[in-house]
Amino acid sequence: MTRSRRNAVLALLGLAMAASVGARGPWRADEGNTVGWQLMSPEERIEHQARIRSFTDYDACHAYQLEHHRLMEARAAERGLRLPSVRRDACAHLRRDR
Amino acid sequence: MPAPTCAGTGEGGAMKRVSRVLLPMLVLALVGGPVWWAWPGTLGGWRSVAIVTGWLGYGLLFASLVTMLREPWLARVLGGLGRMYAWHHHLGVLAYLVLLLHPVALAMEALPESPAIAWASVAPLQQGAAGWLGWAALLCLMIGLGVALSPRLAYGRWRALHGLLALAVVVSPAHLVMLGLEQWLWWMPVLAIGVLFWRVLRADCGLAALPHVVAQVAHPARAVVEITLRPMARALAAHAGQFVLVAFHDGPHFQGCHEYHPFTLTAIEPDGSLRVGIKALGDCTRHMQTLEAGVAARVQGPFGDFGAAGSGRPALWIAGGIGIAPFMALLRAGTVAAPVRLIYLYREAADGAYHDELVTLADADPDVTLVAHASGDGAPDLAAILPEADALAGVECFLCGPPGLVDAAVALLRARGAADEHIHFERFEFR
Repeated sequence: MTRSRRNAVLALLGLAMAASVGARGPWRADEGNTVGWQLMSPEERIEHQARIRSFTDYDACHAYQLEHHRLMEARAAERGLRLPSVRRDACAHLRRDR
Repeated sequence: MPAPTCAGTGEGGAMKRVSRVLLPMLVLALVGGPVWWAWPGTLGGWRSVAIVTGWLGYGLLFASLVTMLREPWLARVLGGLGRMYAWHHHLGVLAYLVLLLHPVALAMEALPESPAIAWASVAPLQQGAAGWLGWAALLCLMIGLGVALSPRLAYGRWRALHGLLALAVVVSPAHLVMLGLEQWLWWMPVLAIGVLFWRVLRADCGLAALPHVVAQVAHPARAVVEITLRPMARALAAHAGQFVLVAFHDGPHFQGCHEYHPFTLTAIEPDGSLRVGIKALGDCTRHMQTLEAGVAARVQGPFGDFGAAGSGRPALWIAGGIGIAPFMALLRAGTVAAPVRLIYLYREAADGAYHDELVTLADADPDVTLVAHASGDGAPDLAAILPEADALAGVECFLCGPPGLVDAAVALLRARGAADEHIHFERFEFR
């Protein structure tokens, strides 16, 4: 490996390490912040993430969230499951008091 | 492909060191910037791998796009057009391989849930608009890259299909927008499309080229034509050892290919006229053997600086066939300032372009020694022709010619003790 290539690889590794510390990335839907994640299809998960990302207003986001919760509770009831009552607010980043 | 062009970077030591570092740094910025922004933070596992490979692949693709720009100033800064094209190829292949991992990682993330969910995560028929656009971009990459690696495809068809790679650069941001990423992201596709337009308008449509006209046509050897191009407006500031990209258009009885091909300069006249040597190596260059005075041409460049690295030190020049072109320009310019031994190899006497002129130039300059060798149909006996180890000490070696000959000669020079930093050659692949 030439010196310039080695430097490039080292710089890339350094950047990756710095990124892991410094960057947070855009909001992403996952099992921890999405009610009923296990009851959604992969396509629905993508759509849900895109919807949440598209909101610029907390109230609109929260209204969509309530609708989503109702749908997931209905699916859970159909299958005899119980959804967790403690939920992370996926719209929290839009709250003005934050 | 047209005649081989040999044009090392040739800048002075400091500039060369800077240009060596600039290209990796530029690529690092183009790749590292989006990866840093999109770093998956608290997410873990395969989902993170999918996100990182997606952005890494897009950054690599973007960098590959930037390295296909054909601007003399950019080529000078980034270490030469040949180097940029080598990076363009490697970055493109790497982008494709990394992006192939993206859907695989998405499926792997869902596999613990169930194989059905894993399949649904990537199956094209089970995707919404975002997934479809992702697959479309990957398909464009697959075809575009497959074509790029097919040297036998006709150039016109190759170029059209290779354009699918550019389409991938446009479609993949649409995939990201459908995933809900809208704000910070926009500068990237806008810049990528800007770079695409830059390349197409400046290089392919010829806005960066200057108008010339064919003033003279000579036939210095079998299947070789030397064209004198007179500038119609501003002359290019070129010097011996450089090459230009030329597109020949139409003339009184000639219909050009209208494609830009690289040709090494064989002379630069005091009035700014340029001479290029063209060997019939492909369809278009074969057709160029019938060029006539009065044909319109557009010229881009100049690029490269072959021979400059050794100025002032004794040199060994090894030319094969039309690879004599850069050495011809250097000798005609009369800038040889140290002893030079020129070994000129060709098949038969009829293929030895400029032979008589070279003999005259060598006779007139005591610093120039000419060894012309017709090897016939077999490979030349390089072991007998090239200087022994003791004669290579302190000598800068420059090679220009067919890849097979250059490879064999370089291997022999190394075996005889010539260090890599004293061996100068470049291969050009403009596909």
